[in-house]
This record gives sequence, C-alpha cells and structure tokens, in this order.
Amino acid sequence: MVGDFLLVGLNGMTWAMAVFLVAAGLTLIFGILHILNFSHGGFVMIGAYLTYTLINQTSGPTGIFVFLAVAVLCAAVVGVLGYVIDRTVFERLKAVDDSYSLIATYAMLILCEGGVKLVWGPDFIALPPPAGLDGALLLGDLFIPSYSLFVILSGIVVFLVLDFWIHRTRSGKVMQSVALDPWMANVLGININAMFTTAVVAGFALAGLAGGLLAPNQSLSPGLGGTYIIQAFGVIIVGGIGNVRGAFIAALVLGMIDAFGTVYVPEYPGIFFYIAVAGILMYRPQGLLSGIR
Amino acid sequence: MSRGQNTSSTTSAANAAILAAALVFATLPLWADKGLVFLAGIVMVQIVFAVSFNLMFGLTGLVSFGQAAFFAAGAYTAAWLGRAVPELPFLIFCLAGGLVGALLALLIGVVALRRASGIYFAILTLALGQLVYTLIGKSDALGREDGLVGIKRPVIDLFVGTLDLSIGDRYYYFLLVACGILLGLLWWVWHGQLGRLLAALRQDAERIRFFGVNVRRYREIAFIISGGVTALAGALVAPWSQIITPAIAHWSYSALPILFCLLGGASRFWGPAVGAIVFAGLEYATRTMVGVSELIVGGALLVVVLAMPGGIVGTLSLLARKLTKNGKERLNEQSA
Amino acid sequence: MSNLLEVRGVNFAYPSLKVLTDINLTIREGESHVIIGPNGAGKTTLFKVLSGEMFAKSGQVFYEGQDVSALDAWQRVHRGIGRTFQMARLFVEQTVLDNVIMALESRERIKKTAHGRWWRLSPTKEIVEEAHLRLAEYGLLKRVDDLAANLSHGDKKRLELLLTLALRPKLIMLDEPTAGMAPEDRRAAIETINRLRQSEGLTLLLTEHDMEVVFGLATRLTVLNHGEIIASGDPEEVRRDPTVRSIYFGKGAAHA
Repeated sequence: MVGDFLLVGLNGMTWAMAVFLVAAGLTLIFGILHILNFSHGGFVMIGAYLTYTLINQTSGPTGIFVFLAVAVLCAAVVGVLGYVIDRTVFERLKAVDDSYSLIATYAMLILCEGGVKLVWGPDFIALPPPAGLDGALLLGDLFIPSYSLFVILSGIVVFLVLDFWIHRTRSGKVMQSVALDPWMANVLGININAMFTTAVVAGFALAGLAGGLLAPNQSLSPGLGGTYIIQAFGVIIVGGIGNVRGAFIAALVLGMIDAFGTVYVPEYPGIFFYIAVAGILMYRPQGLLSGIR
Repeated sequence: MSRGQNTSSTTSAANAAILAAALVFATLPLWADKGLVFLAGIVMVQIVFAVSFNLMFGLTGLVSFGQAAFFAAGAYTAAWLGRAVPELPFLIFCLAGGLVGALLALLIGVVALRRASGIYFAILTLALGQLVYTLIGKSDALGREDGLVGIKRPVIDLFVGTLDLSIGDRYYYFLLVACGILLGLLWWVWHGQLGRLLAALRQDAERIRFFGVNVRRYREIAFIISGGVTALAGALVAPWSQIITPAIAHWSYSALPILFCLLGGASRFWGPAVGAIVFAGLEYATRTMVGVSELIVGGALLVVVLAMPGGIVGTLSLLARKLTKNGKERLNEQSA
Repeated sequence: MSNLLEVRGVNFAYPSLKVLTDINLTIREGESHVIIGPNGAGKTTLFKVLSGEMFAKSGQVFYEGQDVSALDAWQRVHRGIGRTFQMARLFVEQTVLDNVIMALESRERIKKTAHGRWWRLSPTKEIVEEAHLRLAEYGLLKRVDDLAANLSHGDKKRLELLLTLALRPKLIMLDEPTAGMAPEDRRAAIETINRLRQSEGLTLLLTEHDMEVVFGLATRLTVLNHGEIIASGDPEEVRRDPTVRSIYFGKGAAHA
C-alpha cells in the first residue's frame, strides 16, 4: 500500500519534471518578450529527433556521458535556431497583440511538424535509454526505473540553475528589470534588444535540452510537439506566466493531482490535469505566482 | 445605412464572387467526381464552423482555442441520439446537438470569461476543450478512440411524404441548404444590432461599458451563439462522413477555424469562407506529399499573420480601394 | 436643490500608494461642479471610483439617495451617469454615423424599446433620423460617412460629448473636456457646455486644468491635493482660500 503510494508519487514526479523541462524555456521567453511561443513544443521535438540521429551515429552502447553531451549539443543547435527565429519572426511579433503572436507561433509549430515528417518520416521511432539508465533500482519491493530518477534529477538541476541565474547573478537581475520595465531598463543604458535575444536563445536552448534529455522517455512521432506544448501551457499558466518558480511548483502540483487522480478514476486518465488547470485558474486567474521569478 | 461612397463597386464584385461560389457548390455533383463532392460537403460544414467561430474571433475579439469541443459536442450528440432513439426525426438530433453545444459554451464561458484577457482565455478554452476531448476519447458510449462508425444518412419526414437522404447526392444538397440557412443566420447576427454592438465591444470594451453594456454578458452571448452554431455544423457532418472520431474534438481541430479566419481575413463576414476554400485547395493539391503540406500551410499562415493582417479578403479590398482611389484622382486631375 | 450624488468617506489605495483619503463630496442637482488639483492629486481615480470603473476600498457612493457603491459602470449608466474621457474614446473603425447610432441604440436598449432589440438588422428610421439631427446640431453633418479615426482632435471631443449625451444622462462627468484645445475652441466649448446644462437640465462634474474654463463653468469648486479634499464651495470663496492659494495657485499651476 505504502509502496503503491510511493510509486504513484514517483510517476507524478517524473511527469512533473519532464513537463517542467519543457515549460522552463517557454515561461522564460514569455516573461521577457510576452510572446507565448506555441512552437516551443515543436523545438523540443526537434531536439529529441536530433538526439536520436546523433546517438545512432555513435557505435555500440551509449554511456550516460555521451548521452548528456549529445543533449547539450542539441541544446546548442536549437539555441542557434532560436537566434534565427528571433531575427526573422519574434522581431516582428513584439508590436503584435498577444493572441496574434500565439497564432504566428502556432504556424511555426505546423512548420516544425512538417519539417520533422520530411526529415524523419511520419512513423513512430523509439530510442532506448543509454547504458546505466536502462535498468531499475530495487527499493524494498519497489522497482524504480533509473531513467525516471534521471528525469527527476534533470528537472531539479535545471530549475536550480535557472533560479540561481535569475536571482543570484547580475545578468539574471538585469533580465528581471528588462521584464518588469523594458523602457526604464533602456533609459538606464541596458541594451534591451540584446537581452531579448539572449532570452530567446536561452529559451530555445532549454527546449533543445529538454528534447534531448526526454528523447528516451517516449516514442518519437511528429505529433509529439503538440502533446508537449499543451501540458507545458497548463503548467506555466497555472504557475503564473513568465514565472520559473511558479512553473516548477505548478508542475509538481499538477503532476501529483493527475497521478493520484488517475489512480482513483482509472477510466479517464489525464482528465485531472485539465480539471486542475481550469479549477486553479478559476480561483487564481493570474496563476500561483506572478511576475518573473 | 450609408458607408463610404466608392465601396459600391467592390461590394458588387464581392456579391458576384459569393454567387459564383454558391453556384459552384450547387452544381458540383453534376460535374465533379465522388471524392471532390465529399470534400466539398466537408468544406461547406467547415465554412459554417469557421464563420461561427469568427463571431467570437473577428467580431468580438476573443481567441477561443477550444472551438472543436463544440463541433464534437454537436456531432457526437446527434450521432449518439440517432443510435439511442432512431425513431425520432433527424432534425431533432441536429437541434439537440446545437443545444448541447450552446450549453457547453455557456459552461466554458462562465469559467473562461471570468477574467478574459486574450491569452488566458485562449489557454483556458484550450484546456477545457482538451477536457472534452479526453472525456469523449475515454467514453464507452461514444466508442472511445474508435469513435462512432456506420452513421446512417437519415430519412426526413416531410408533411407530404418522406425524403430518403441516403440516396445518391441527396444528403449533399441537404447539407447545401442547411449550411446556407446557418450562414444566413450568422450573417444576420453579424450585421444586425448585436453584431454592431460586439464589433464596438472589440474596439474598446472599456468605452462600451459607458453605453450601459454589460461586457461580460455580451461576450457570453456571443460565445453561446458561436458554440451553438458550431455544434449544429458538427451535427450535420456526422451523417455525411458517416464516421466521427475524437480527432474532431482535439485542439488541432480547434486551430482549423483560426487558420481559415486569418487566411481569408477575420474582419470580414465571408473571410473565413474564403480561407476554408483556399485551405482545402492547398491541402487537396499537396495531399500526397508527406510533410510538404504542413510546410505550405504553416508557411502560408505565418506569412499572412506577419505580412497580411487583413487576410486574403482584407488585402483584396485594400487593393480595390487603392485602385478606385487612383482612378478617382486621375479623373480629378483631368477635370482640373 | 437636492443631492444627486453623495460620496461618503471614500478611500482608495494601490498596494504601496494611497490615492484617495476620506473623500466626502456632495453634487447637487443642476450644479456644475469642477474638481481641480495638481497632476497626481487623484482626480482621475476619483472619477473612476464615481463612475464604477474601479471600486473604493472603503466608503460609499450614493446616487439619487441609493447606495451604488457595488454597481458596475454599466449599471450606473443605466441609472443615469455618463462620462467622457481625457483622450476622446470613440469606435474608431466605424463611421461617425455608426458611432452615434451605437449610442442611440444603446439608450433604447436600456429603455427596452422596440428600437433597441438585438435581433434588429438595421437601425430604425427614427434612430437614423435622430442621429442626423444630433450630428447637425454639433456641426458634424459633413463628416457622417468618415471613419471616426479620421476626425480632428476637436471633432473627436465633440463627437464623444454627443455620444455621451445621446444616452440622456442626468449626471455627466467630463474628464478635462478642453484638454488640448486652442483658446478660441475653449471659449466655444464653455458656451456649449453651459448651454447644454441649462437646456437639458444636466448636472455636471468636471475636472479641468485651464483656469478660464474652470471659472467659466464652475458653480461649485472642489480642490483635491494628495488625494484629499482641501477646499470645497463657491468658486470665489475657494479662490480666496489661503491654503488653496499656497499649494495650487502659488506654484503657477495655472500654466499647466
């Protein structure tokens, strides 16, 4: 009984940290640019497919370190893509109404899907976890897949790094001031366009990293981008859009609600996530935390 | 009501285009193959879907990302009733579908319009729409992921006799008439006092409050009409496609009317209709090319949002206005 | 004269900023009550609290003897309160005529007459005729088919006044009605407003910066400073009030 409880909690945690990995970059970009990037999930998906291709280039079983290196490389590649998109698309979206930029980035998600179908084909692809993460830990009579622990750990590490950057470093604090009042930041001599670009590149790199780290978590298909983004939307809007801490907390809350809800009402898996999103927003329309944190 | 003077020629051109399109749809079964006729039926329903969605989007100024929930509500209600109580007349099923859609819109509206600011409304309707999608996909009575199959085309009981719509192209013509009636209804709402009020509300919701208008209530009314008519369109499509799956409730189906509206032009009544037809053409032309069709659709949408905010219709009428203006100026120069 | 609007102990504050402190104010029927005060004194906030755009943190607003503190702006409009904005706010994508029709139809909707039915396709003949009549009165007949966005600043202000009055309010709140106008236009505006007050039996509540306008319109004057009322009464008395002189006129704010 206690074991079941722990297992459900662990599932919830894994889900929460996977979604947080996706949501982190999304909420960062919104916090600074006020663009809700629908295509974020698409770039997570591209990161995952790239990882698949790169890992298949290496011969023999992949170790954890090679896997991590590949994920970081994918982050860099998607970050560069982010730079290009910042210059070509986001640049023009700053003056546009929120909902229009949502639709423009939705168009980019469709482009991502088309690109993935062209390059990798429309069928499902699976990537096994790297050596060392493909087993399971035995805790009493509890089997815990070591890859789940890896996802949880990754989520926590990414959160701590981001949180440290935003709150403890100079550039993070500058970023916060740009988010709060770009006009004033500009007056104070901060190159806000450079900060915008930095945020976009960082956000996209986080998407690529998430894609790489989560690639072995599920089968890859061109619909993956859409699946990712819907869950990430729920998490960042409940957390308070633009707020990294809020997204972390919201991911945990929603992950737990959904995991335990699915145990008690197994006929409708996944339904509690949407109910929780709607319910929480009924009472706190601005989300759990507000502002960029 | 009088508008600008030089729009009469563009108006008559637009009327001619609408008439021509209606004629093409009406005569299609006479000269096109079965596949194309089927597609045309779907497009007609999608036009109603998109125009009713545009009541919220282009007219009232709110992006709902969960419109497919209403479409699916209508389709599933009508199809399920057709199975549960087949002895009742088909029109009752359709009306029930519309009613369920309107009720669902009322419910979602109460939640999502509490503090409707653009992006929150979009995400909340998205989440609630996905809730409906999940419920449908997991419900035994609605056939879970497989949906409902083998939906029969009905026999309609007219007072003078019965009309069997399962024969030949009869259901196509039935669709044509039904969609025409629904579009007429929407046209009335769009151009009437309510529509003009909603347009003003979109431009300045704060200002219209000082005309004694309860903004939230009128947004809800728009949402309910929009959801109800979308559901009616859904109810009509079920016997046409004869199979419905949860895909019609998925958020990517909600994105379709947004696409049509932006492509055609959201600020005009007929804009979404143009968008739906052009989109169907694009998809039909690229249907065999895996991946390319997404690239074309996504690319077109991105270009439209970034470069042609008025959509096809908006850009055309802007061009027309420029042309007539130039012509006028030239006339003035000559007379001077 | 009976009291039309009564404000009792109204406070308003943002999390870190007190904007209005213990405001007590009475607007009598038929008067022309001008509120003055330096920028940031809380005039616009007071307007918003009175019109129902924002709600006071404490205190009450009575209109015709009834507590309207909890009523939303649109409900207060139904009771007979109208307002204009500092920057004229019109429906800029619509023609001048359509703007007026919108206002007239809104009035009919409030009165629940046959002209205000939402399913009506076109406005009734009576509404269109009245719209033309009113536009003629305001000298805007030439612009009926122009988009409201293309009007000059002065015409926009006049059209907004027309729209607000078309709703037939008893109390009309004007937020800086002459802001941005040339001196001769200001004089014309004073005349128009005074004439309207008499002919339509209106009660006026205004904020204003221009001293000529203030003393040309005010039958009563209230001075707001740092969110508090420091003087209220007959314009001449207020003008002589030493506290007022020291904080307001002494700083040369009349040039603002």
